Amino acid sequence: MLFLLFKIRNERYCLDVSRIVEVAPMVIFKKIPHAPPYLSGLFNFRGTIVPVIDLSALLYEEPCRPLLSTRIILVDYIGPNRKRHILGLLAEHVTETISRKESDFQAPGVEVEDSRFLGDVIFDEEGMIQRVEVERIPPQALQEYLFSAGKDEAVDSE
Amino acid sequence: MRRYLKGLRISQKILLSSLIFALPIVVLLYFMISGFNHTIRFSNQEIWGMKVLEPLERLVELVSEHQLLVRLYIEGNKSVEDKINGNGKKVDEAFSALLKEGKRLEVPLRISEKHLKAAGMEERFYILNIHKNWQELNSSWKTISSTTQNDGQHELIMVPVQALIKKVGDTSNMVLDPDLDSYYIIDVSLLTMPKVQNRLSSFILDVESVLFKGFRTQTDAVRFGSFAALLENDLDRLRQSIATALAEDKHYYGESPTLQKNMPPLLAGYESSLIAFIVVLKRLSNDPAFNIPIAEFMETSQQVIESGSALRAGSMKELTILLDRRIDNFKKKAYAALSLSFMALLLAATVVFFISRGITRPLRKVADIAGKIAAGDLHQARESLETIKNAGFDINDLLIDPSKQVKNEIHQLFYAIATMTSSLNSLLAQVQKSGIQVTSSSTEIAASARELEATVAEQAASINQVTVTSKEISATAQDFAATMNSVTEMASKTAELAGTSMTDLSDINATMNALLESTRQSTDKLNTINEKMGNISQVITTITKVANQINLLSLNAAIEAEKAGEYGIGFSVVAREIRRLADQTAVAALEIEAMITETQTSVGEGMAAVELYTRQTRTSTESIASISIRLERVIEHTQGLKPQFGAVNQGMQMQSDSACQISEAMGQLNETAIQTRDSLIEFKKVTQQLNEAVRDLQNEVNRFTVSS
Amino acid sequence: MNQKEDDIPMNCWREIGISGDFTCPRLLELVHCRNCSEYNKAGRQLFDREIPKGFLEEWTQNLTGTKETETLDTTSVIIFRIMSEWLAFRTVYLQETVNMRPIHYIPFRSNNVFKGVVNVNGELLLCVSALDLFESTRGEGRAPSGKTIYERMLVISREGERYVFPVDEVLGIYRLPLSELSDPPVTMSKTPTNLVMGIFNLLDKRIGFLDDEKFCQSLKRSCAH
Repeated sequence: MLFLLFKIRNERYCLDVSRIVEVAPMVIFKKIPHAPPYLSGLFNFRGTIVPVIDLSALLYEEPCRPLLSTRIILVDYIGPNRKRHILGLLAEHVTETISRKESDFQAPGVEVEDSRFLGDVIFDEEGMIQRVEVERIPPQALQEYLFSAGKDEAVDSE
Repeated sequence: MRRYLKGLRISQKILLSSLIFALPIVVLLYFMISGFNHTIRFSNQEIWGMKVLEPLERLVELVSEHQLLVRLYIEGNKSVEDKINGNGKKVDEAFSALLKEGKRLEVPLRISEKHLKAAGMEERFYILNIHKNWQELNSSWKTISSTTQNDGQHELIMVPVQALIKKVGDTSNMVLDPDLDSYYIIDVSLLTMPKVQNRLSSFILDVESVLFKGFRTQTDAVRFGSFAALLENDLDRLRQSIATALAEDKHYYGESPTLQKNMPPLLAGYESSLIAFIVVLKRLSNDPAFNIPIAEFMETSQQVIESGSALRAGSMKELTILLDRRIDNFKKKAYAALSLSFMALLLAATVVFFISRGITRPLRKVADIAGKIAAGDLHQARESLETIKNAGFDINDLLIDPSKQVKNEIHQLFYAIATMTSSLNSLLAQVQKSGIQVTSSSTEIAASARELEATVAEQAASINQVTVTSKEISATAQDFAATMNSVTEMASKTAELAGTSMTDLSDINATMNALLESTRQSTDKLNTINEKMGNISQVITTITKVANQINLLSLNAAIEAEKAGEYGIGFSVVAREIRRLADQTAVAALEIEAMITETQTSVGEGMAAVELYTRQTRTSTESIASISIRLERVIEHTQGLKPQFGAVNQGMQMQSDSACQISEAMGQLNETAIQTRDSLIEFKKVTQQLNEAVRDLQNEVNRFTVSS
Repeated sequence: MNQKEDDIPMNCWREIGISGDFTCPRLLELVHCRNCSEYNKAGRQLFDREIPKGFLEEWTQNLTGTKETETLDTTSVIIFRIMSEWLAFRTVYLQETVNMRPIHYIPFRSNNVFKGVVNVNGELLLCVSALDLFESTRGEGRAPSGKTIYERMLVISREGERYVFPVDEVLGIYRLPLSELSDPPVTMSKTPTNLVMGIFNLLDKRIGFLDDEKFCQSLKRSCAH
């Protein structure tokens, strides 16, 4: 299996490429007023309006730096309503892939409620890489906020 | 043989095996029927025997009567001549019947001349010869003069006739008759009765001759008594035989109504006449006084003979009837056996037909469905399967609950086909889906490749630009070096001039101006270099952007390649290679940038030095113009400036080196770009092959109509 | 930014690598610094630059459009030049393009078309001269000005037979709609017309589309005697 590598603050993470639609460079986001700080905004990805979550802001409350290697990972996200959506994830150092077997991953042994999306870990010569589970990334409140078509009111609870 | 068997259709195979099973039945049937036929033939043989025995027996009777009458005639009783003639006619009739039947049945009864000869019988036993002897006797009986001659002549006929009776009795299997009723009737008609009749004839003859004599001796009386006893004995035997026959009759093919009806009166008639005859004999034996007229005696004896004849003929007729009944019975049995067997066979054939149809029809259906699957129409195959709902058998039921036990192999087959169809259906749907996925991946990859190509072309253009610029820089730097050389030269010259003749100030002034002009040009050149370096910096930014994009595109290509699964393996390798090349480009760009920075630093230093020199020169020139008195000091000062140019030159040298290095780095960049392009060729090649593979796969899969 | 291995200096290839004194122990294994992860990491630093001006705007615009995809009803060809002749060959049968390498002459077997064998990735493949197959004009190949030309060798593989032949230039791989193909004119150079299926125009060049079957057959024939 192939995994896309990226960094958030100097920590390395990976994501199963089978869930990735495309990797796009940074663009200008349409800001959403009163949105939580980790929601960078919206942008037009080939005709689809895609919300982008800044993983660095989500984990460390500090947005990604505007570097060339800071890119949007567009993933196939299956929402709570079982519908497919495209979700953008903003991360740094999105420049490399790594090939690993599913069995190479080990459980980290800890799970923190606010970073539930961080999963099992693998190792390479430079250290530890933690896997990211797409479905668990958007916090509960955001899931409703983002993809519930019927709701007009923005629920700002985080 | 085995190949032939394998080539047979199932119905043919079933037919073949049922034929093989039917074979022993047919053989058994054959043996049974032939057993019946044997019995029938056996009975027929008896009937044929009867046909011949009948005239033969009659002949025995008639000829012995004839003998008797002729004897009477010889003894002087001429009144019997008419009787003899009447008897002769009856003998003729009997002979004609014998000849006819004897001729007809000579083969089965083995009484032809050939058979008789083979059996060791002489010519006188041949029927034709017997007849000839009779004809001779019949025409010449009047010439017979003695009893001895008479007996001899009649024996010529009687002996062969008796022999023939024995012979026919043997060949017609009469003695082997298996049924008790017919056996006893045979006993009556063929053994006892002829014997009794014969005996009677001789008794009658004897008695008549005694009566004719007119007196009876004691010996005669005793003989008559023994005659009576013998006849009583015979009568007993007859009674017993007939009673047995009548009693046993019902055990053999049912009671014969004619037998039961006809035999008792015949026996009774014979009994009464025989008893009357016996009474006469007894009286003649016991009562010497008793006398009876010959005519009356002859009448009594005639009655006995006639009733005996009737009994014999009647019993023979009954025997024929019994035998016919037996034949009928066996024929019926044979027909029953045959028709039963044929019915059984027919039934078996029908059952086999239905069984084979029960196998072949579903099989044909399965074959039909399999054919549809082979032709790729899974949808129709499924529909056909769903329409099959045999009694208590529903494919869908089975598919829903496979744990249900299927006992019938045909149902198992249907189930297997149904399972296969549904698996195939889902598999193909999966394959079609994967095919679409791979196609979309491959088109995306192709698109990436094209973008990459465009990007690389942009990179190549940038590199060209850098190369041209760096060449220009190099040229400018050389110009600058030349200018600096001339500056140095002129400075030296100024110093020289100042040293040798410190008088020609205007000369110095002019040289100074030229010097100023040169340094100004130098500054311009340095500015140009700086500007061009700035240009290169911009190009590096472009290269950075391009390398960044190549990295991005190769990431996307790798992602798509992974999605294309096994087909994408080729791409992931190439994508990684391209990413590595982008990294190399980046390194080259970084190096160039570092060199530009270095160069710009040295150019800056050089400019500062030239600036300083120019300022100082200008100051000096002004000093020369205004204070010529301090000329010496100025010259000293000018001379002191010289070493500073060395620093500038050194800077320039470095700059020239940098330009060279940039050129070198550019060469490296160019090489990278070319490698990238080569990789792209590889990439596109793999894309094309993937496309072809996908197209093949889709063509293959499109043969199948999948039901959703 | 995070210098974790202190014994490896920044820009190490300049000091101990291929641009330096070759003392780096990794060189023994990797042969060239470009195969080293340090080199790649250094390259990646370039991408850690701040986003240049105009970049965001440009990409924001770019990403709104739909992605171009390739159509399948075309044929992909590799276009190359032999002397003055531009030729195209179906990509499906192309196995590899490699740099020029020495051809090993085989005594008594080599002829004007079959040149010998060539080592490609450790395999010895038959090398043929397509130039002599075409009996092409021996005139000077015109080199397009202002551009560096690289000679290449093409490895083709069709029905299990593989051949290598040198070409003077590879233009690249292009998709060619077969409808644009026209019959080769009778006057077209000295190329045996039966090897060229048709011609088409691309980038101001007239390109002959090779009949892969006939081409491979004539290669086979040349190698057979």
